Formats: sequence, C-alpha cells, structure tokens
Amino acid sequence: MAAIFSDSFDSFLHSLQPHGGPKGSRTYPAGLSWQDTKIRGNETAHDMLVRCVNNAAGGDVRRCQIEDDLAVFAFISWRENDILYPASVQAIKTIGVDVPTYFAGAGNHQVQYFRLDVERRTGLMFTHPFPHAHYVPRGEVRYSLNGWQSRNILVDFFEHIYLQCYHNSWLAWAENVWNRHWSVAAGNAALPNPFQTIVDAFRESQYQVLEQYQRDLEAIKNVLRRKKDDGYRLRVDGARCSLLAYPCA
Amino acid sequence: MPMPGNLQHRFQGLRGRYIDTQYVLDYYGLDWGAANADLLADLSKYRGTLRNPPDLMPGMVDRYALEGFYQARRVLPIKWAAARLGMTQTLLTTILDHRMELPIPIRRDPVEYDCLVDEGFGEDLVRALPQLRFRTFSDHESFCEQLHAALSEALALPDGAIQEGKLWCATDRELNEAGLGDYPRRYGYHFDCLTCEELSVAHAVWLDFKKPFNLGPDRCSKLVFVRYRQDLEPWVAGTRAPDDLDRYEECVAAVH
Repeated sequence: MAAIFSDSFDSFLHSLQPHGGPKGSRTYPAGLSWQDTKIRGNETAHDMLVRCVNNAAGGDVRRCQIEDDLAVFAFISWRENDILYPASVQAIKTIGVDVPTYFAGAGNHQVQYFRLDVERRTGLMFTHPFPHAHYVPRGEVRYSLNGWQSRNILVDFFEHIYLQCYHNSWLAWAENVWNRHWSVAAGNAALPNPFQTIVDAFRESQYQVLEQYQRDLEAIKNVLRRKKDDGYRLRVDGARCSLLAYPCA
Repeated sequence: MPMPGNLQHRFQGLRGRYIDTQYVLDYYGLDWGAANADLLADLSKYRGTLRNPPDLMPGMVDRYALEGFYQARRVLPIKWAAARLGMTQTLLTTILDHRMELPIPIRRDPVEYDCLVDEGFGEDLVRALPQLRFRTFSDHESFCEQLHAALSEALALPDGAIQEGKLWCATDRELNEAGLGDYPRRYGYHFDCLTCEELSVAHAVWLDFKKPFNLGPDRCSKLVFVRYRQDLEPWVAGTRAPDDLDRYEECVAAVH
C-alpha cells in the first residue's frame, strides 16, 4: 500500500526528497530547469507540456507522469535545511484521454491545470498570497494556501489534486492509514471502526451523523496529517505566510 | 400523521432483526420462495459463524445475517446494484446479458446465486467504456447521465430502453409535482426502508435501528420523515433531526 496517496505519487515524492545539505534543489523530471517551469508568452498547457517534455525528458512524456492522466513538472529548492523556497509545481490532469495521447495530439483535449507557486514576488498589495495556487496557466486568480496550516505545502497541494480528481485512490490510502492506526491504538480492538460510516455520511450529506462522530473525524484528520508530515520534510516559512496573508485572498 | 398499516408493519420489523419474506422481496428485490438453494445454504453457514446468533424464527429472514453476508461476499442484490448505477433492475439485466459486447468485454460473470451482483461491477463497467476513462464525475447525476449515454452507444441500445431504464428518485418526483424538485432530476441510489421506493442520497435521512455497527445504515425519505416525524424522530441517526426539512414540510402541506 502506498505511503502517501498512491504508489506512483510515492515515487514522485521520493524524487523531490531533499538531500542532506542545508540548501539545494530537486526537479521532476530530473533535468528540468527553473526556466522550464515558467509558462511563456501565449503558451497553452499543451505547448508547455511539449516544451518541457522535449527539454527535460528527452521527448519521453512517461517520465513526467505520476498517474495515467496526470503529468507534473516540479522544481523545488530549499535552504536552512528544511525551508521550502522557492518552488514551482505544475500539474496537468487530462480529461477523457491519457497523458501520452494528449501529448501526441494537437492540444484540443480538455485538461485541468494546477500550479503551486512558492515565489519571491510579492505582487501588488495582497494579490499574491504566499504560497498560492493557480488554476489557469497565466495570471489571476491566485488562490491562497494560507488555510493550510501545516506548511507542508507540497504534499498538501497534491492532496488537493488527489481529493478532487482521484478520490477513490485518496480514500483507499486514507482508509489504510486509519485502519492501521485503529488496529494498534490501545483499547480499539473490540470497538467498531467508524471510518466507513463517516465516509457514507459525507457522501450522503448526513451532517448530524458527522456531528456525532466529530471526535473520530478529528482523530482521522490528525492521523492522516501525521502520515503526510512524516513523509516529507520541507516546510514553507510560516512567518512569510503570515506576513503576506490577507483574509479575503 | 399516523403511519399507515403497511408502513407500521415494516417499521416494527426494522426495529428487530427479523423481517418477513414479503419485505425481502419489496426492499432487497429477492424472491425468497424461489431463492437459489446455494444461497440459502451459504447464508446458513455464514450465520453459523456469527457470535451467538439467536434462533431463527420460522418463515422469517434474519436481515442482520443477510446484510452481513452481502458485506462479507462483497455483493449486492441485483436491485441495489442497479440503483448504484441509476438504473432499473431490468436495464442492468440487459447490460449483464450484453457484457461481452462492451468495448472492453467483461469476461468474469459478476452474478452470484442468480440474484446477487459483485459490488465492484460498476467500476468494471466504467473501465469497460473508454469514453468514461480519465474522467471525474461531479455528482451521481452526472455519473449516471454519462454512463447511460456511453452504454447506449456501446451496446446500440434503443433510446427508449435507456429512458425507461432510468431509476428516478421517488421523493424527487413527488417534490417536482409540487414544484419543489431539483434540477437536474435526482436518480435513485438507495431504497427507502419503509416505503421501499427509490431514494437519492440528497433526500435521505439515516435511521438508527440499532443494527450492528458494521452494517450500513437504514434510510428513509425526508418526505416520509416529515410525514411520520413523531414515530421516526426517536430513531434518527446522529445528534438530531436534519435541519433542511422546510421544503419537505412545504410539499407535505401542499399535498394535503
């Protein structure tokens, strides 16, 4: 079972694990440059994919995939051992076709675009929350990631994608992590595991049932949080998040 | 409002573990009188593995054992499996009969004991239809629309068969008649444990009849809940009754 989200995501995250030095950088795929990660001029997501695959992956789009229908280009740097800064991560989720088919085509298939920016620019006052996500290749709107208090922004960004686009995979991972916790937690052996009831209550909007399981829900969140935080070391600078934060962003 | 006799009878049965064979037919869609002998034998063996099962009551069915058996074997009654796909049992049977003609044929027979279907069949079906791969569905209605269109195309089913095979939520239908329904229309996904009518997740209330925790909850329509609130409120699951009942109360008032 995957350590985080899926086996292929584990491999991806492994390639972005920092080495022992106080500062450094990692990319996915290996060979990607900081400049490659920037969308250029009037480039579409397809143009960017083709350029990055040709520049950094020798034309082999499979080296950029982490799911059949998800291509990723990531450049991350760190300093002071574990401060993530800067970083740019672009993810292209193809719709209705797999990534190689999209790559080989003319770019007329639909895609969903995600980009995580942990960047130096502060932008006009309060327009660039730190860090932020884009859902279109260029410009506005930048969505704040300040709500994600963990500062483990890389894993949280991908959890956002897995929750929205690969919910079955995410759920299988979450259930596995929770069940392992449940089986070893003191005194739980004889108690019924509430996970499936909570999953069903979410699916069916049974708010009053979720209220009943509030403590279990908190416990699930904490167990998953620990698992994610154990799996990746780099964190964004919390002071910077706070300095640039503005509640409406 | 007092519960009519047939619902009262079901309500009483649901508060225990034994149900009559008519309810097995109405709710699960299983004709117990004509049930597969292997199913009865395997169910009996399964029941024997339960901790201290009470003696069977003649002519009655132990629903805790029945639902536990579904769960242990990862199967659903064909009526329920069809509802998960927003379709009638008749349409699902047609699709099962034609599963080898799908773009990616499903070779393994998902039907067990002539009446139960592997609960993973829906996922197999999606994988068998290339136009549904690499898609995320925003809700059950969107999933059903796209699934039905893909099946119609893949199996060259007449449009009438697909339209007649759609399983609409009975509560949504009633709300629509009072001008209070949803758009798009809601598909059924479960069945109301009291009326045995098709029920979408949006219009369902969970009832807690103290079944074993590992079994899924029983559900009734919010319209049924509003109509018979005095009887049902003590059995609602969770901390309190749902707080979005205004529309259902308006509908009940409009009908009377």
